[in-house]
Parts: sequence; structure tokens; C-alpha cells
Amino acid sequence: MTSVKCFSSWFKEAGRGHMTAFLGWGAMVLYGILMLTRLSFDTEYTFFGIGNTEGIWLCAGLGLFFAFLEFFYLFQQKKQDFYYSLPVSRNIIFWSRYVHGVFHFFVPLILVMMACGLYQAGIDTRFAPFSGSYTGKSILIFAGVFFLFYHMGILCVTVCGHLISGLLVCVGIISYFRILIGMAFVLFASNFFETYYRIPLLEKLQILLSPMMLAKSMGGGGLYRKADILDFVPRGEWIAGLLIWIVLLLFLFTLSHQKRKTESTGQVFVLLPAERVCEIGFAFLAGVWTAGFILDLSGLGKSSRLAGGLLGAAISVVAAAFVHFLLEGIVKNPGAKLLRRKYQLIISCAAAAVVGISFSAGASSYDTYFPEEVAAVGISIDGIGMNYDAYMQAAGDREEYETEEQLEKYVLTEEGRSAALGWLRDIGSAEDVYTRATVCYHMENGTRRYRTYPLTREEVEAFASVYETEEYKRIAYPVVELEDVEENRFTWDDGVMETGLKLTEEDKRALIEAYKADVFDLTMAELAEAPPSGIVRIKSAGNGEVTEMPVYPFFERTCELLNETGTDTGRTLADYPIESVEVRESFLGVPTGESGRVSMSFYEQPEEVDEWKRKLISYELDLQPLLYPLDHSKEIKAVIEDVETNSLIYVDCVQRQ
Amino acid sequence: MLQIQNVTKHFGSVCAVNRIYLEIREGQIYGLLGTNGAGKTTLLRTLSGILQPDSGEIYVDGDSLQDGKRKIFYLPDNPYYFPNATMEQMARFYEGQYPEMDRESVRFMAEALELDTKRPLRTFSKGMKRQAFLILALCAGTKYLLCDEVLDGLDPIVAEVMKNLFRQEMKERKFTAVVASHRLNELEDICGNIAILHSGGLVTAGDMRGRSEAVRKYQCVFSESTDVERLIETLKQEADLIRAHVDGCFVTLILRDKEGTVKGALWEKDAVVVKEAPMSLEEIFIAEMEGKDYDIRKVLQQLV
Repeated sequence: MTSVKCFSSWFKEAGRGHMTAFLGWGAMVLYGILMLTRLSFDTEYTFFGIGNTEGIWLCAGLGLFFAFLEFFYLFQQKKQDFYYSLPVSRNIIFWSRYVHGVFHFFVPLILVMMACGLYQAGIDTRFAPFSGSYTGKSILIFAGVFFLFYHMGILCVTVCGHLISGLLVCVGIISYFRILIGMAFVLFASNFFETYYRIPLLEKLQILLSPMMLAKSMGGGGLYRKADILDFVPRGEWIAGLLIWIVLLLFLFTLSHQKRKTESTGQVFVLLPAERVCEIGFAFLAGVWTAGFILDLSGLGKSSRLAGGLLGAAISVVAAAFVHFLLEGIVKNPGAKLLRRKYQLIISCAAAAVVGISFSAGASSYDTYFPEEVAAVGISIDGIGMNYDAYMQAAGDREEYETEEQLEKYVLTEEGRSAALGWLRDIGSAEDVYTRATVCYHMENGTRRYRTYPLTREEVEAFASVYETEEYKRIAYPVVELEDVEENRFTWDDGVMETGLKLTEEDKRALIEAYKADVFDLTMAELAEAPPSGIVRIKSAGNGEVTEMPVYPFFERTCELLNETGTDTGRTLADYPIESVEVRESFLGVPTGESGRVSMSFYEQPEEVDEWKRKLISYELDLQPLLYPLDHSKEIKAVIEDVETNSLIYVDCVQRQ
Repeated sequence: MLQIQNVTKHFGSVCAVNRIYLEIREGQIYGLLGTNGAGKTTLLRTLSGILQPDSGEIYVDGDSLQDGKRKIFYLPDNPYYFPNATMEQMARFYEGQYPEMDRESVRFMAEALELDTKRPLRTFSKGMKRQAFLILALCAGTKYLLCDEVLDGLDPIVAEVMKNLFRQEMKERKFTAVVASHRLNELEDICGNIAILHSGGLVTAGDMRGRSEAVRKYQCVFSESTDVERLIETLKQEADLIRAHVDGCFVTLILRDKEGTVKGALWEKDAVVVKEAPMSLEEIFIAEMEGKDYDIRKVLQQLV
């Protein structure tokens, strides 16, 4: 029989039982039906290819499942004996199964993707021009993800002699770098580095080395806007990373299949090098992770770097040695000595100890780092340029969304950059921490370095040198950049009601000009004097985007213009007919054994209402939580009577301090 | 001819097959005898290409094992079959692997043994499965058939049926079967040549019956007045006595007597009855190994 005929015969043989075909076709057809159904309802937020994380996980899952299904015979001694006793080369059996798995993924994938692409192109005119490129890119990306996990699964099967060990190694490969970098290294960095915010190199490595994260990134995970998704092309480094993974795994499983001995089936590992690499890797990871975890719990890294470093190294060594002996106990043959691999033990422990010590040793230079030359500086101060909710998330809950958004938004490249560098040179040794500044240094070579610094109140005040630069203000007050506003819609929101502004085109232009002048004259100290009187919202006639324009009482030109056009910028909450005030208080500090309680108070008497009136500000106008702090200890609602509609308006309020 | 040259196979620290040299000529049923763990299965799995030897070479008709693999069919003690597969389906599968496979003969032989070729093999009894796979193996048309413990645990009737299948096939075409077993009596009536394996090593191999032509077994009865002890001492000096068993007046002697002259001498020494008895394979082995500084009895005790 020629090898082509033999291959074809074994390709058919691989399909015996039809499990792979059933799964591949079944899953893909189901996915296709689901996508077509969803597309028939919504084409704006439904994506059948890029942008659909479920699709990525489906490909990853099928890749792993196919690998174990196609090569399951490598775990079965009897079946292997049967196959290998036949007059056919092992390679033909192996590769025919490989191709069989690929075939039953690719064919349904291409058909389903094309069907979805054609269907959406037919019903969605915005998608139609992108249908070819989007479908093609999606097929390539899904195929790449499939190959990544398919090859990974095959490698696990070829190096292991048992299903359980194969699955465990697979879980290990998938989660190894995510744990090592994303958890262990980050724990070390955040405990030893006082100015740690994030390290882009580690994040990049985490994405490239963690198959799940790489797959998600390749599939446009995190994107939700249709325009971004249709234009999405994975980054070059991700594509390179994926290709390297695929080729490297292909090379490794080919090699391990060649070296694999039939008689090793049933053992934990069938190849000694794989056993050693896994043992070293897991012992090292266990050492580093345990040390990071204990350091984080004890907080020793922050209080004493030397003691923390030594403790980290000691814990790393103990944990690595423990896991080494544990794994040896599992894989070694009965009767073999537990200490048979001394050098391997030394490598695992030494590597874990080096990590423990190196973070401690490098902490000082990390924290004192200050770049002399940068292309730009991204800056975010908790409480400046964000409302109270965002401030609480950033400062209280340590959520990074708002900070990240600001770091992307407040990128200073001109005089703001010089001012920021000047300001940053003088900060960072705060003992009485008022807030924190997070900085992103955009280096000349395109890389980024992040630091976070504690700030005292004085240092926040000194930030005025940056705040008052034109560059910073243009970012902080985007209205100053608006042009062609004649067709836009202007509204005035005083924290209670939002009303449309009846402005002529001339008035609109004049208002923007007045606002620009006020903003450029603004000093940061003024923001501590009063909360905004209200917010002008400008809705673009072009794309519908809304730009907010907070108006402070000291914005004289703006206020004057608004007043001239019939808007009373001096009208505050107190000027509204408040009927009553509802105050809700939560008492959390209660004795042990009792749950916290809540009390509600209602103030309806005119004298009580008058007293509250003077203290209240609309929650919506709390835009300077750091510079003009307000009292949020109570949840307050002002009940206002709307005489025009004969209804009640409930306004969330806060108290002046 | 199957040539096994200095083949060694280790499983970790255990030496399963230790420097074995063996030549298996064509047209015979060759027995591989050994206790559990002697290395029979390992040797057969190595011969069939499932295992790679650590050292040594295997030649099939002068070619490497890789090239000659299509001439070999390996039949393990518990053969694999596809889930729900019938004998017919397995025959079809083997047809794809062995071009000489004769599906017609499979049907014919199965019918003769009352095996339903359309019934799933999983529903067959152990004996029926063995018969079914032996039929498939014989009909594969390969020159060499390696059988591992195929007769083990079968009732005497089924075992005889299977042996007849071998004999019948031997009559029809020139092929070689290597049959491994841990029971001597399973092999002695079908195997001309036998190799004994013990602890991975080859104890002895060859045509035992041919070699035993010069060895005879006499069962004698002497009169009560005969000094049997003295008689045996005399025989040790006069003839090449291998073994003597005395039970009162009854004496069993195994000795080298190519010409058959000892029988006359026994009559002359006042024997009342002298009868030449056929030798069992065990006795032949003992005779063969006598003087080779190897305690074959210990090995054989475990095999019978």
C-alpha cells in the first residue's frame, strides 16, 4: 500500500466512532444557529467572529477536547499494542489522527463563519463592506486559537502516560504563567515596591505566555464597539507569540511522540525530560507563590525589605522543596530514594529563592526611579478630574478603571510634561497621605513605565503648576477644543432639573469662547472655593456625543452669558420649593453579635427644611471631591415640588462640610 | 526465518529480556515456555514491533523488523477489538492492513466452529473470542504468527479445537507460529521446537524430541532378591545414566542409549519386566539440561 493510500485509510480509521466529527460539527453548527438567531435580533452588539469571546472559548475547548479524543489511544496499552503490531508506521497512525482532528474543526468552522458572514452582510449594511475581511480574519484567528490548544493538548497526551496526569499538565500549562506572573510576581512587586502600580513588561509577558489570555486578546476580548471590532487586527506581538506557541508545541509533541516508549503507558510521565521540567516548574511556582502569599498576608515586605526578602527566600525554598518531594513521591518508582534528584531540588529551590531576594534587592532602585527624558507623561490623581463615585472607586476600592482612563486621557507632551516632571521630582515621600498620584512615563522608545506616589495635601496644592498649564486644561475641559457647535444642542443642568438652552448660533459660539477664557484664567485654588453652579451639556449634532461643561460661580464670563440668555446660574437647590428632606443613616459600628442598622429621618417642618436647604448640594455637582470635599456620611434626598407638572422630584444630595 | 540477535529489553531497572539469541525457522510451531515474568510476552511484543529493544537486532527473512512487519501477525492473550465490532468487521479492518487476508476463509472457519461473524465480539465468551481471533490471525495470511498465551484458561475441548486450527493451517500452507505459554502440557503436543525462558534469559531452545532420540526411558521390575542400589551404581559406570527413580522393585531409568543395547543388558541383570516408555517433554528437558549446571527442575516445576 502506498503511503498516501495508507494515510487515507488511517484517516478513515481515525473517524471510527465518529466522536470527533460529531463534536466538531455539532458544536459548530450549534454555534452557527445561535449566532444567526442572535444576529436576527441585533447586529450592533452581536459578533460571530472577532469580538465574540464565547467563540474563542469554543475553539480552545474543541482544540483540547480533540487532542485528548484523537490521541486517547496513547493512554491505552491494549489499543496501542493493537495498532503498533499492525504493519503500519506509528507516524501514519499519529498524523492521520492529527489531520482528522484538524479537518473536523476546519470544515465546519469555515462553513459556519461563511454562513454567518453572508447572513449579516445581507441584513446589516454597515457590516457588508467588512464582511469579507471580518469573516476571513475571524476564521484565521479562531483557527490559530484552535491550533494553540490542539497542540497543547497533544503535547500533554504525548508526554504523559495517564489521562489524569495529562489533564493536570494541561491545566498547568494553561495557568502556569498566569499564576507566576499575574499572581506571584505581582504579589512580590506590590509588597516590595512602594511605587508599584503596574509593570507593562510583566503584563505583556503574561498575555504572551498565558494561552487563555493570548487567545482572548487575539479574539478582540474587551472590545465592544462595532467599529473597533470590524477594524480589529491583533497586535504583531500577539500574532508572533501565537505562531511561536503553535510551532514550538508542534516541535515538542513531534519529538515526544518519536521518543515515547510504548511500555511507559500508564505512568505519570512517559518521558524523563518532561517529568523533570514539570517537577522543577511546579516546585518553583509553588515556592514563589507561597512566599508571595505569605508576604502579602504578613505585610513584612512593606515594613522591612531586608527581612521581607530573607523571609520570602526562606519560604520559597521550603515550599519548593516540599512540592519537589511531593511530586517525587508521586512519580518515583517504589523503592527509589526520595532524594534521588538532588540537583533538580537545588535548581527549584535556588530559582525560587532568587525571585524572593531579587524583588527585595531591586525595590530601592525601582522606587527611586525617575526618568530624565520622557516623550510624555500620563497623570491621574485620585480625586482630581473625577466625580465622587469615581474617586471612591479609585481611592477606596482601588479600582483601576478610572485611573486607567485618566492615564490615557491626561497625556502631557508639551509644557504640561515639563511642569509635571518638575512637580514629580519633588513628591513621593509623603507620610501623611492625602491621596495618590499615578503616573505613566511614556519613554522615547515607545515603552511605558508606571509609578504611583503618595501625596500630602501640600503636594496636591503644588499640582497647581501642572493643572494651570494650557495643555492640562485643554484635556481637563474638552469643551475648549469644541468647534462648529452651531448645530449642537445645549442643555443646562443645575443638579435638580435639566432644561434646554435656547441659544442662537452666535450665542453658542460666544458661550464656548467665554468658557474658554474662564477656563484659561482658572486657578486650581479657585476650585476649592465653591462647587459648580451647574453643567452645560453639549450634544453633538454629528455623532451624538455629549461633552460636559461644568460651570463654576467664578466663571464670570460664562455665567454672565448664560444669565443673559435666560439661564439663572445662581439658582441653587435652596431656591427650589423643597417639601421635605429624607435622611438615611447607616450605623456600622455596632457591638459584636449585632448586625448594623439603618435609620431614616424625615424633615418636613419648614424650619427644618430651611436648615437643611442651606447645607445641601446636589450629588450630581460633587465634581471636586478632593479640592472641595463634601460630607457623604448620610444618604440624603430632597423632595422638591415641581409646580409645572404637579409632581415630586427626588434629588440625591450631599452636605457641605 | 525470524532471527533474534542479542535482544535486551529493560523496563526501568527490571531486565525483562536479557541478551536473547534465537532463530525460528519457517514452517513450524515454535513454543516459548516460561513462568509468569519470564519475558515471553515482552519478547513477542518486541518481535511484533510494539516494543523497541534496548539493544540487539531482529530480522525477518533477513530484512529489518520494520521492513518485515507485514509478514507478522501478533495475537495477544486478550486481543483488542473495536467497540461493538463483529468478526466480519474486524476481518474487514485486517483486510486493509494485511493484503493476504482471506475473508472467505474467515467465514468458512467461523461457520465450522459455529461462530456468528455478525455478532458483536463483546458478546462472545472468552473461548469464543480466542477462537475468533485465532481464525482472524490464521486467515490474515501472514508468514509469521505470534501467539501469546492463546490456549491459557481454555477448557480442553476448545484448546484442542484451537490446536487443530494450527495443525490444519500448517498442512495448508508453510507458515510459522510462535506460541508462548507458561504451561508445558499446552505446547508439547503441537510444538516441535521449544525455547524455555526464565527471568528474561533463554534457558534452552531447540527440537527437544529430535535431540532426545539418543535418550531412552525404561520402566523395569526386578525380583526382590536383586540389589537395586548396586545395580544402579553398575549402570552409572557401564551406561550413560541420566536419571533413576526407585520405588521398591520398580525402577525407572532415563539414559543415553542410541543403539538400544541397554535393554538387553537389563534383561541380563535379572529384570522381570523391561519396557521402553515414551518420554514426556519435561523428561526430555531434564535430560537435555542435565550437566549444564542449570537447575531445570526448579524451572519446570513451575511450568507443569
